[in-house]
Amino acid sequence: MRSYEIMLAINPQLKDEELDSLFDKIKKVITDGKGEITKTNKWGKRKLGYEIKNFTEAIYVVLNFDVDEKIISELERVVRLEERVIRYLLTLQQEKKISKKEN
Amino acid sequence: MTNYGFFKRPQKKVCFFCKEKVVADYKNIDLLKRFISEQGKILSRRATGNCSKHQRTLAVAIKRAREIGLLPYVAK
Repeated sequence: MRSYEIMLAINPQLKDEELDSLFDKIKKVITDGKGEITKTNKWGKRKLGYEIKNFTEAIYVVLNFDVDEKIISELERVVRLEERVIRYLLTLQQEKKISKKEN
Repeated sequence: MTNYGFFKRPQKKVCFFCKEKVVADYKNIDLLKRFISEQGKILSRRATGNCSKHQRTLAVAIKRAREIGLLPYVAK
């Protein structure tokens, strides 16, 4: 088990129901792999730093979750194939370890 | 020794991240914006005064923010 963080930049033209179905799809991948979502943070619409796929803004969402390393490849596959997601950024959370070393 | 006053050494800068005890994070865009130039370039260590460790984490954070579209690669 490791803790990860994924940030999604989503198509800004999506309706609320479509957004919810997208979240459910991603959450299902995590929970099916016996993972646990620890935090969700919806940033809402933000302007992009540069144009991506002809979009000038995107809906940003941050998900923190603990999951086994084997599930990550499956999760990445799902997110990459998902057309509603413009970009994603998956990072390992190591902040706790770093702060321990410093103390 | 006489001090003529015009040999004043520039004040040594202190690493912002050491001073404030924060870690650069790609989500904290307002903070990252202080360390990029008008063109969107990462400022050098000489300009920011950061220590090498934190300059490295800062550079990674800015690059991550660029990747997801929070910061521009090149600002017009």
